[in-house]
Amino acid sequence: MTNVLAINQLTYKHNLKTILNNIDLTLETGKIVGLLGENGAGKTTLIRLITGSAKGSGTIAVCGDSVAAHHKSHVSFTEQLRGFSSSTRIDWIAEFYRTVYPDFDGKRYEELITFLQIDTSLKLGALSKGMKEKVVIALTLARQAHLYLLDEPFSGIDSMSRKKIISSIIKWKPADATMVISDHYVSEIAPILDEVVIVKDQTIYAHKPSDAIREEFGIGIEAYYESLYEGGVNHD
Amino acid sequence: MTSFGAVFKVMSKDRFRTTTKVIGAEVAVIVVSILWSWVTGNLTGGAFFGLTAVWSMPAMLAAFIFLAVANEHVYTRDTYRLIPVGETKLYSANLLSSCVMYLYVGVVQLVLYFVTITIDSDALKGILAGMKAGMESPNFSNAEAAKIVFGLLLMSCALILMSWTTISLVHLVVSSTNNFLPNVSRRAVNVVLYVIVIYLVVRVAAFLISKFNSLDSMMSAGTQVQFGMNIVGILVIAAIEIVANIFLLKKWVETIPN
Repeated sequence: MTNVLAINQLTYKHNLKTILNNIDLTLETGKIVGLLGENGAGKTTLIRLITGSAKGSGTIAVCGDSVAAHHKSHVSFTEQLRGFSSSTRIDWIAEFYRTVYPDFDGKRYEELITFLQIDTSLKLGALSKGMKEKVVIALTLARQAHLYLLDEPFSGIDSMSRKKIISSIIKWKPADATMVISDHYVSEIAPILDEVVIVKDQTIYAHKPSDAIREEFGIGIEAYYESLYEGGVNHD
Repeated sequence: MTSFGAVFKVMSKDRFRTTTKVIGAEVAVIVVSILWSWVTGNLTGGAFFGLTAVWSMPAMLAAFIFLAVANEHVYTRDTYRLIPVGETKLYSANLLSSCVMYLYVGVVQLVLYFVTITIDSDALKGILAGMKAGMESPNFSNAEAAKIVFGLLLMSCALILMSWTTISLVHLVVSSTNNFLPNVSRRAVNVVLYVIVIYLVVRVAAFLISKFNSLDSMMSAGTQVQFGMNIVGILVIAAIEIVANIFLLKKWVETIPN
């Protein structure tokens, strides 16, 4: 297996405060990875560093390419559409994506829109938080990228829809692509995760395959994650 | 990677919508002003052109501000910064798109002037004849008049370009320093930078006013060279700011987090 992501000695400081310190992380292609950690641990920052939205020191290589500008063509990120005014229609946003992302798959987008029951004639400002998240998910997954970065993609989405999306994520993910999901709903995403990366104390505290956690500690991913904060698991 | 044309297209489409709204509002205000003048019995000869000229300036200013805001949004929004292009291409497409859309607003103003001059041609006949006579006077040849118009257009374009690059420079410097400084220092640096911007705006405005005031003296060859040098100077400053802005984008400017 080849690596889709290789991070070396990555450090990020903001307002003289260290957020992430000397991060080393390697992700293989084809995996679904859970990025876990408490609020403010640095999960979103790590994702922003990978996309190039934040600037840190150290090296980040996506598909073997360490040029930040090139990462963008390999990475599909759940960005919150802040560049569009609230009066922008969803179909206009889709047209924007179709124009600027050569890997945007229009057919796949239509399938996702149908699956998520999104009315594309609506304006951005008229969407509920959950519906907006669905649009973001549809746009993100409609790209044929190598690395999908989903940052809290299910916040605001009702539990029924959330379960429906989570269970069908494998269907939408290209076989050779890697998907990183940062989320608080650990129990809901746990069944689809191949690996877990836990951000704690400004670093990657743990990076383990899900099966290894179950075999080694005899507990589920959520229990393992919670035990790290309670000190119940001896992490070497 | 995305082509320059694709980036330019999406940016222009959005700005075309914005500037068209400004033009729509301008036309609506002109129509209302004309109707009001008619209702109150003040619709004198030349009112069509006069009211169009009066409302043209605020419309141009509004378009300038909206385009400046659109420019700056691009640098700190993931929507644009995640497009698979280098920072140089992104910056160039952004600036070019605003320039083209401002040109569009300018051309529409010329069309409005032309239409209203045609409507008011009888009333403006005297003024137009006077202007024509002035242009044809021995001290003010057609070639020199064309030179003045061309020179002023060039100067306006250069100043608009420099204004946008200066606004971007201040925005990007503030954005970059905000990443490094603690909160208290951030506020102090922001205040200092805003003072610098206001000072620069006043200086540019004073320069512009002095140029318009000395239009008569533009006829002499020496002054024309000086005027040309001023335009080159402004363009050089804009070019330096563009290089600095691209450098800041590459190295330090981050987007606003989700």
